[in-house]
Amino acid sequence: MAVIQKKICLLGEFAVGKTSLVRRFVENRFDDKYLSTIGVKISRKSLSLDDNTVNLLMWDLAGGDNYQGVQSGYLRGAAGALIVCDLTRAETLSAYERYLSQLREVNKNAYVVFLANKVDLVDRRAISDKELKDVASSLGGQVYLTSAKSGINVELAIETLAKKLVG
Amino acid sequence: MSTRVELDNSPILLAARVARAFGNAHRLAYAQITPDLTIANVSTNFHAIISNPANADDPIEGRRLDDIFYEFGGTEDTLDMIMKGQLPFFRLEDVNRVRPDGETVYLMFQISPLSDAQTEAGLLLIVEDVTEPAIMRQSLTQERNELRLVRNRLKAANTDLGRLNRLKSFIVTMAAHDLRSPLTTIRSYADILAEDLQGKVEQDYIEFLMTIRSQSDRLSRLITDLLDLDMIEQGGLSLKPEPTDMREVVEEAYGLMAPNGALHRLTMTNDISKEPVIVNGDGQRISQVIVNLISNAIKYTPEDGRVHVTLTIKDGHAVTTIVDTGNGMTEQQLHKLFQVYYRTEEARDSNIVGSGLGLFIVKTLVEAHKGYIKVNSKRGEGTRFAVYIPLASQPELA
Ligand SMILES: Nc1nc2c(ncn2[C@@H]2O[C@H](COP(=O)(O)OP(=O)(O)OP(=O)(O)O)[C@@H](O)[C@H]2O)c(=O)[nH]1
Ligand SMILES: [Mg+2]
Repeated sequence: MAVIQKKICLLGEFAVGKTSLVRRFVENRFDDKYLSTIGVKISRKSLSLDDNTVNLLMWDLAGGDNYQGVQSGYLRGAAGALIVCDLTRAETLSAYERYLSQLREVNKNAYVVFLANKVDLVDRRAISDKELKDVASSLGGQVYLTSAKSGINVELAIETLAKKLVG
Repeated sequence: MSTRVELDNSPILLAARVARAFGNAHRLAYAQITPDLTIANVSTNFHAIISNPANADDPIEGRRLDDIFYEFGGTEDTLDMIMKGQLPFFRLEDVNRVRPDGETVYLMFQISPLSDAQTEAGLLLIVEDVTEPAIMRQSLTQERNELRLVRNRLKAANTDLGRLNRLKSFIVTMAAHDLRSPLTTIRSYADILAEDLQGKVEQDYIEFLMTIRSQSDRLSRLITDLLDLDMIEQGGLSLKPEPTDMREVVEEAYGLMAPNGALHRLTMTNDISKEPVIVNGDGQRISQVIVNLISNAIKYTPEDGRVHVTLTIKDGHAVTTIVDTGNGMTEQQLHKLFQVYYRTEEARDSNIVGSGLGLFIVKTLVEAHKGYIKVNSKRGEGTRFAVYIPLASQPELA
C-alpha cells in the first residue's frame, strides 16, 4: 500500500466558505462566525483510496477580491485546487478564471474541482444552474453544490479531486 | 547522512547573533537543512517559535523537513532550484499555526542557500514569529471584508428595490389609466341624468346623482395624485417654466374654490397684489398647489369659519398665504405634515376626503420651483400656509 502526499489549494473570493469547507472535511464541524483568513492555514487529512493512502495537504488561503489574487509562493507544488464560490453572491462566480490562470502558471496540469458553496441558503441563491454549467464546461471539470454547514457534497467533491490526483 | 556544519562558525549562529544585535532574536529561529531535506542544526529557540503542533517534545533534528513542516510538502522542486542557485529564496508569509493551547500564531518561513559558495552545504531556514503584526492585519482584513459584505448586500437589496419600484410604477400607471375612462363615463352619465330628470323626480334622487358626481371627482383627483406621486418618485417630474403672473394663478384658483367654501358656509376673502407678481414657473403646477391648499383649508375649517387668501411680494419672492380659522394642528402633526401618505389622525377619523398624497405633492412642486412653504398652526385657532416662489429676475429693471 503506497502513501502518497498531495497538496491542494482552496481558492476563491473572501468569505465564500473555504475555511469552513476544510473545517467540515477535516474536523466535521461548522462555525457560523466569520474569521477572515490571512496568509494560509495548512491542514492534513489522510484518505484511503483503493490501494493507496493519500495524505491531502489542504492549503486554505486568504480569499482574494476583485483586485488581488493569491501570492504565487502559496501555489508552488499544488497538484490540484478547489475553486470555491458563494451561491448567495453573484460576484464571487467570475473570479474563478483569475484563480485558474494563476494556478496554471505554477502548475500547468493542476486538477480543479469547482465548489458552489452555501447551497443550504436556498432563499438567497444568486447564481443559476446554467451559470454554473457554463463555468464547469469552461473549466473542463466538475461543479459540486456544497454546504459546509450541512456537509452536503463536501466529502464527495474533495474525494473526487483526490482520486483524480492519484489516478 | 547529514553534513554537520561546525557550530561556532555556522551561519545559524551568525544569523542568531545578528538577530540578537537587532533585538528581534526572540522572534527569529533558524535551522540548517541538508541537501536531502533533513533538518540538521536548529537554533535553541526553534521549538518554541515553530509551535510544532503534533510532536512538541520530539526532537526535530534528523527529521525530514516536510515531516515537521507540512508547508514544504510538494515543494521539493523549488528547494532544489534554490540549492542550485537558480532561485534566490522561497518565502511563505503568514502561515497560521495553532499552538497546543489553541492560540493561533503566524509564522514567516524563508529558505535560502546556506552558503553562496558551497551548494552541498544545504539550505538555511529562517522562521519568524509575525503574530503581532499579523493579528493587526487580520483585524483590518476582517473589517474590510465585513464592510464589503454589507455593501454588497445593500447593493443587491437596492437592485431588488429598484425592480419592485418599477413594477409598482407600472401597476399604478396601468391601474390609473384603466380606472380613469370608466370614471369619466360614470360622471358624464350622472350629469346627463341629473339634468334630464331635474323636476321630473323627487329631489332626493337628484341629490344621489350629485353624490355620484362628487365622488367620481374625488376618485379622479386621487388618480391624478397617484400619477403625480409616481412621476415624482420616478424622478420624472418636469415643469414647463415660463414668465407667469401669480395674480392670474391665485385669482383663478381662488375663483375656482370660493363657491366650494361658500357651500361649506365659510367666509371666503382675498387680498391680491395690485402690481404684477411675475415668477418663472409652470402656471398649471402652481395653480395645482394653490387649489390644493385652499381646498384643504376649506375641508378642515368648521362652518362659520373663514378662509383668507393673499398674494404679496416679499424679499424677492411671490408669497401666497392661505389662512383659515380651522382646527389647527399640534407640533407633532406639523412635523409629519409633508410626508407621503401622512394624514393627521383627525383627518383619518373624520369623513373628510383626501388621499394623504396632496401635501407631499404640493411641497415637491414648490421645491421644484426653487421655492419653499412655511406653516404656522395653533390648535383651535387655525392654520396659515405661506408659499414662497422666487420672482423671475427682471433684467430690464437693472
Ligand atoms: N449558511 C452557510 N454559511 C456558510 C457556509 N460556508 C461558510 N459559511 C459562512 O460564511 C462565512 C465565511 O466562511 P469562511 O469559511 O470563513 O470563508 P473563507 O472563504 O474562508 O473567507 P476568507 O478566509 O476571508 O477568504 C462564515 O460566517 C461561515 O460560517 C455554508 O455552506 N452555508
Ligand atoms: Mg478563510
